[in-house]
Amino acid sequence: MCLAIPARVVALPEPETALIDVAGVRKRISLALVDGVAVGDYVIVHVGYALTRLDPEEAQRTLEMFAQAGVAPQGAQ
Amino acid sequence: MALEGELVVTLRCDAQRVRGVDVKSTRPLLAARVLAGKTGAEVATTIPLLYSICGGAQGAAAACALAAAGATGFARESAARDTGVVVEALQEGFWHLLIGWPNAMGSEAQVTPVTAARYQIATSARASDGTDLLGDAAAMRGLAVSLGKLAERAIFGMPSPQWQSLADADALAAWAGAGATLPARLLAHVLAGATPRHHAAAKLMPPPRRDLLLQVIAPALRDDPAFARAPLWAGEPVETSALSRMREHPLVAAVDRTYGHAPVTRIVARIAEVGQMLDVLAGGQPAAPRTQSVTLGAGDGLGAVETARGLLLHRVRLHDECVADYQVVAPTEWNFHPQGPLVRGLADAAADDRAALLRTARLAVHSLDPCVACRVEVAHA
Repeated sequence: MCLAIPARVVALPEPETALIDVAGVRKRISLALVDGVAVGDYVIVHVGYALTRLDPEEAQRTLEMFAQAGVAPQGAQ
Repeated sequence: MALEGELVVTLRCDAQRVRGVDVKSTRPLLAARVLAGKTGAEVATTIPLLYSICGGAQGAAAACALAAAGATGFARESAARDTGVVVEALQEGFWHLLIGWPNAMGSEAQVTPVTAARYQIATSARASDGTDLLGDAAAMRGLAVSLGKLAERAIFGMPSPQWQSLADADALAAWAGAGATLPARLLAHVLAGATPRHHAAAKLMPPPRRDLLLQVIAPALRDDPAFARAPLWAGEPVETSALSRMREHPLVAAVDRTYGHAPVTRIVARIAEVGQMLDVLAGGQPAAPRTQSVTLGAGDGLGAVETARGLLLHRVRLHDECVADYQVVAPTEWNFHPQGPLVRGLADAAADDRAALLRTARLAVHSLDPCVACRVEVAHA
């Protein structure tokens, strides 16, 4: 159910659009709902839209929690 | 496959009709693994990190379950908790009607009002010094006014009470036909393709009052290891959604009499519920509490929360104040059950036009709003 797996922003190819990487899978998403996202930030994504921006420490803690639970987005760490 | 898992709906067809519908879920059930051994306080900080769109409702369900299990520091009832669930569901309502729905129908989304609603919620629910304002009646009335203006412009095209008093399916069709807002225009398309009553639809979940949670849900959680993945209500698949909550609303009831528990009825219920939630936020009395704490035994508690998508259940068993077991049953499990509302709604659908079938299926999926990505595939026998 709507797991909040942090996705790393790897590029900003055009305004309000980001390329994200989760476990080595890259995907274009919309940044229309969040401000100030930069390359290297982590975002929480739902059906193609970034919902929230996480600071790197919070993202790391969340990624470690998912990894411990067996959902390990290796490529995103 | 996405890490968070997904739903795959396969429509098995012959040349004319859908002959069978399969739903496969690859969503991991993580709660027990992540939360085992944690204290109540640790559960409360972990849950919102686990879930994205419904983090508030998940946190509320956890707090209710922990309170019911006797964990230290959790209140069984909290007006602010209830309000938080309403506010999150309103945010979901804007998202659903202005982004999710047009996306599902191949139309352009209207992001600006959703961004504005999210901004209003973010700035009204928390003061600049970080104080939580969900329990502040004046702040919530102010939020109801600002969200009401946004909803009037972007969703209703008129004041919400005026929309709520549309008398019947004809009045609704006239509103849709006038096309003042994106949801009105989308509804006109949906009505054009809607067919009258579908008798095979799954029943609506009864209002999950405390006595029913004890009689129906508690034994299933205790005794049925498959319940969390494929829940049944007293042995039957049921729908839990805005429609199951709003069935008594005059306009929703009128649309339901014409079309049954169909996508169009669910969408109308969701629009109606946005208005109802705005009334509650402005200080009106809710028809039923959004959150409930039910003690199942010593150290054994159930939290039940009416989220935007339907009923969310958390059950926790504590040992020495730490989690010994944790179960989560999300609304998607009821609505995408292998014999549930989605499957029944698509059974026997016309399959002679593949593109039309895919449009029908995508609208049905959208109307039940799964909380993970859902792929629809067509397989010919």
